[in-house]
Amino acid sequence: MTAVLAIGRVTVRGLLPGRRIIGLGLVAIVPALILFLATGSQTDARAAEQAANLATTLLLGISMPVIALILSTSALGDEKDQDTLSFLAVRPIQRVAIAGAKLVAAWFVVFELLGFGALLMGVATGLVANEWGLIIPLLVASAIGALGYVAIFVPFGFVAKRATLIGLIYVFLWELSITSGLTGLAPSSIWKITLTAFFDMAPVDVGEVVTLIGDMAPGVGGAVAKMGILALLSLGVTTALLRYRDIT
Amino acid sequence: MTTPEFAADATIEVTSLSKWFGQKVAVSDISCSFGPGVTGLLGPNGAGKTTLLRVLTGLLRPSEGAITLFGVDPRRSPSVYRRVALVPEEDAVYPFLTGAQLAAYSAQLAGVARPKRAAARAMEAVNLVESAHRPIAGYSKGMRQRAKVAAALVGDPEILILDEPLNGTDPVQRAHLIELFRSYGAAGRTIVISSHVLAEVERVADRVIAVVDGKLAAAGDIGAIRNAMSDIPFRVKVRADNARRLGGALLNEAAVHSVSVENDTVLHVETRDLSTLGHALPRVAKGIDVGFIGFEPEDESLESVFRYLVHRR
Repeated sequence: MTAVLAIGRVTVRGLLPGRRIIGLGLVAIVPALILFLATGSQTDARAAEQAANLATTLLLGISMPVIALILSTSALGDEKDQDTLSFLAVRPIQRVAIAGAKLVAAWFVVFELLGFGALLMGVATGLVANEWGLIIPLLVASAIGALGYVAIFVPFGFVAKRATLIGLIYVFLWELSITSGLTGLAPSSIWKITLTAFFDMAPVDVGEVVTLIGDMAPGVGGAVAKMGILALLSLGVTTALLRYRDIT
Repeated sequence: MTTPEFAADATIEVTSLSKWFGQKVAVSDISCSFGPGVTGLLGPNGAGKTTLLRVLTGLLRPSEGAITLFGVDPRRSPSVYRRVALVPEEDAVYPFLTGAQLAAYSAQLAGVARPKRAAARAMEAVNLVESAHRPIAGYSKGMRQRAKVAAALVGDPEILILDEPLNGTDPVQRAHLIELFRSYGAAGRTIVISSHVLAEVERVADRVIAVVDGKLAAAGDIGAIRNAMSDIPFRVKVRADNARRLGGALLNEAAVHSVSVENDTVLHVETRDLSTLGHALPRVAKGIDVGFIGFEPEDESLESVFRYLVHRR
């Protein structure tokens, strides 16, 4: 357990060098800033709906996958690129423990940044629309969505050379475009599954963005279960990669 | 086994090991073993030493053959790493950690009971106490090498595998590390040190395994390798104003093995006695009234030595 915690701690430190945290911190808070600028003198109900829209599209649709992509692909990818994976691999630690530590550390860091953005968005909504009930749904949705993206991007960062670039193409092409146009594919999108949890908990009318989830029913439990299964699959895949692939 | 490739009381056993990456064969059918004491893994750059060490430590999977550490395959039983440590050639260090933190992290990963105390001991062993609490990002190459060695020693390994550990170290650090490795070897631990510098290996190792082009070229004690090398005909490029005439005269010299003329002013001479040839050249040239311009060894590099050893096998 000490070793796993140690890997987690060092991973968290490695994922948050100054420049990266500033850049991703900005990505996290931009939706809240836009909300402040965009609402103007609208009614509370209209401003709350706009806040839910911005949270759906900007915070959970763009900030979340971008932050998760950059940090998660670095969790193992940086160790591989900087040759420190050999430091980690020649240790009396089961590969599943290394994989688990990496996944948890990546999720923690992603949620730390994204959660800050979600909290700010919730507070901004309270200030501009007098609606404080979005804070918890946004935090919960961020935690759920972060888990899903981390589950995909941590092993991907280990196997792919241009993981960030390919990941961005995946996010913008698949998550934001294809599964939005073809709502029948929505169940294969981390973003859309996250939205089912957010829409279920949000105390305001989210407007037309509700169509993004297609035929999926809003529900926190289902989203948590799906992301949990994805995380377990990711644990298995990452463990297998560490066990069977060459560490060069 | 009694052949020089195999050590008595082997802790690391390599059986018909090959490793290739796509079309490139990095290690080809090597069988050998390592036991207590210091063994030098000698070979020119690109010979396959690093690949061999990475297979030995389980970082790479053999394409063919097998390796065992204490009788087990490390890729199947990571628990064997409690007794094994690697100092890789590359800078496998976290720049944001201090040297002491790196060693303590290594101790935690190795399951050492008091990681900070063990880290302090290891930093002392490599003479890095004064810089122990500075971030590794600010370390020199030599300091980073010592930090890596400290991180490896912290778990008190029975097998220590070091890939070019003396690269970047200054002469004082080098002498200290060599002494350290020798003391570990003398204490019955298995130390494997790779290097492309024969003199370096000679100072630290009792036994040598030489690798070139991915193949085992020679094995045995330093004396045996030295003897093998003394048989090598050196190739020398000679410049004179009449290369053909000088070449003909040189064939009468006992020190000359063969002569080939490149053009009017350049010839190539093979000799097993470079010193005698050096004395004979101006004398012979003067005797036949040929202007002698100079000569230079063509292949004194370690690589040529290894190639010779490979062809001899």
